[in-house]
Amino acid sequence: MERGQLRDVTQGVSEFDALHAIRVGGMHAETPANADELAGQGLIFVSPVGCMLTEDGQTRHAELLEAQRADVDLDAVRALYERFLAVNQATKSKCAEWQNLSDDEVDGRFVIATDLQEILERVSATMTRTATHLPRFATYPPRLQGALDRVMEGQWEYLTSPKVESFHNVWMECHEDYLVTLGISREEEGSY
Amino acid sequence: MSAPSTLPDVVSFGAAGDPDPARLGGKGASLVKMVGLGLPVPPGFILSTDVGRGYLRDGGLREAVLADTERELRGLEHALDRRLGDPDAPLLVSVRSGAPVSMPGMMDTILNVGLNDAVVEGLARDTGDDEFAWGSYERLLDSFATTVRGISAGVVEEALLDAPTTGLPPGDAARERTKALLALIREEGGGEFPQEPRAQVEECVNAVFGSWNSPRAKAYRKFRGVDDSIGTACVVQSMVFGNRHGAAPSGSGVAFSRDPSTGAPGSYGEILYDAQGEDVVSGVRDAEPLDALSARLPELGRQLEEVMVSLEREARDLIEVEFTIELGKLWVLQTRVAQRGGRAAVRIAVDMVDEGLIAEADAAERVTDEQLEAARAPRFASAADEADVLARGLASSPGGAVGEAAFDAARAQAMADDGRKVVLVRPTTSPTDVQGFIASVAVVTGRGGRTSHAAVVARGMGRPAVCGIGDVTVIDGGRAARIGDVEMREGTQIAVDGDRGIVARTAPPLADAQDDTYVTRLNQWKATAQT
Repeated sequence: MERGQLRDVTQGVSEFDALHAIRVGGMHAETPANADELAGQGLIFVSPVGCMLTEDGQTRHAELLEAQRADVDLDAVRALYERFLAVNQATKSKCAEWQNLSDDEVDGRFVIATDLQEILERVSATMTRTATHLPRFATYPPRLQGALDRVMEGQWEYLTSPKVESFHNVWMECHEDYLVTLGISREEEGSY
Repeated sequence: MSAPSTLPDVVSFGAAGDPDPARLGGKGASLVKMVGLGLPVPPGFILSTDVGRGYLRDGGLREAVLADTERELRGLEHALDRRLGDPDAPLLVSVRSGAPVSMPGMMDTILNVGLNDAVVEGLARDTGDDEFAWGSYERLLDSFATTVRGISAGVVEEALLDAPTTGLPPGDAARERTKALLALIREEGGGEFPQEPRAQVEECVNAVFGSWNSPRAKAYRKFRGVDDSIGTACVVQSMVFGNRHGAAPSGSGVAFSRDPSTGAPGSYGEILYDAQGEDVVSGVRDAEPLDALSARLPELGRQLEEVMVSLEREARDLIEVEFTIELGKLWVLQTRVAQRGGRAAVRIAVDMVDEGLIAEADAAERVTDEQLEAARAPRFASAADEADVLARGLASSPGGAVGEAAFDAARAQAMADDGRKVVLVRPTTSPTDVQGFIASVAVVTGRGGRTSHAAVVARGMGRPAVCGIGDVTVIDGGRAARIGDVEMREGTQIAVDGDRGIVARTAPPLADAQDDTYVTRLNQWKATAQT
């Protein structure tokens, strides 16, 4: 929802932002304001659980992304992505550890949440700097912090549940954004 | 609290005697116990909780404690034939906190203490591995900056991002990052990083004891009602390197005495070659299952098995160990009672009663109602016939389910909308697949392990999952896939066994919770315990 407001909305930009949000966010992406228009063009379909790109939508997204990539210092973004990767596995391990705890293990949850807070503090610097190249990355730190704040308030599902804007969901989306933007496949990178 | 003890304040693992957590801290006591069992533990020593309380009372370490610490450091140098600060044969240590109870918010661990500008060069020469040497130094400086000198992680990361590393090979990049960290510690961290290894040890030990009163630790004690006066111990231990390259293999791993997801007997775990201790699960890239270790290095596999058996017998519970292999030698770093899934909790408790390790009443008390409930979820009673097995992978989320194969999320959704039961099969998973997860009864992925996105999401939704089955290539516009050399069409009926890591053509019968003798027996014991 904030994405479209980040800069002047020209037709091209808002189309890209909408398609890209769906591409990297999957069903968690907000239904864009121009959803009807995009659906009318056959680029997305809107279902009760969220939006998805059609095959045409995927092609269109790839074209627009390619155009955007031409204007971005990809080497700089790749170097920043390396710093993201430096904490990626630790983060996923914390998420897996979290799922092994039973509901009454408050101590363990406290430890994991504070560990993730520290990781977030660190990786926020990376994401914020990435945003100097790609403004949409500025949205990730506050979304991750929002999820972690809810966890600290005892809303445990905000750590790993796939059904809410959980820490793990946003993290996975940010990772996907780096991969898609840099044109790296998970297979070749070996991170899943 | 206890009266000041007459036991030594600073004591090596081997000489500590009674593994009393109140005196040695939880970590220290566990190490002492392991040494007592004759397990291969990297040598080290403990500064007791008495020392920790003394530090807080006096605002520093007493001369006698410093002298004892020096004595123990010399003992380590002698035992390992390595010396602090010697570039040709350096002794490196880790410094950890260890309170009698778990204490989030305290300084946890500093690794590679003893490295400095000269030793790192020697280490690079000795191992022929710049990345390892400079990476180790970077790691020390990074945690020294954050945990000892209190520079925030964000500020440290900013400094690292400013380091001119673009285009450099990994070893040189790490060298640039150490320069950035040294400058940061000097400018923002109250002065130079101590090049003298003994000064490093002392500052780290001080930081451990001081962190007992960190705002976070204080807040935690207040929250949990933990006595402020129990204090912490500090463990100084020689480092072993799972990332040391050489003629024999190195690696780090985690092992469980039984499968923590199903409870099946026999040790279970993962190993990551060329990775350091703390990387056990937080390293990069995929770990290999422990079976692969036994196949590759049978002697080490057997040794590790013995370690697991003796630790489990001692703990009379499912245990987990962190281990490192340094140039072909096995070291056990830590052990603790392991977390487990509901089904595993039930099976392990019942099996341990049958093995005479625990009493029925212990079993009844150990398994929570929540775990019993989870143990009743549908699963297959037995493994699929070998002839029916399509693929094997890691059992990543428990349970059993049958459905029609779909190879992309949109198709899975569409099929589910038609009222069909779907199994989503993907090479890897990305956020776009999550919708397909929700529409599916089970998930299969080509790549990734228990910590992969797919596994985390599947467990979060209670869907059975098998991850890491090998090459999966989606073909024919998403309507078919090649799995290994087998081609599978959309709509093919497949069975996913998330307890055994099997994908099969036909489903074995589902286990009936009523017939599950583990659950039934445990229920009886619980009923008896309540009367």
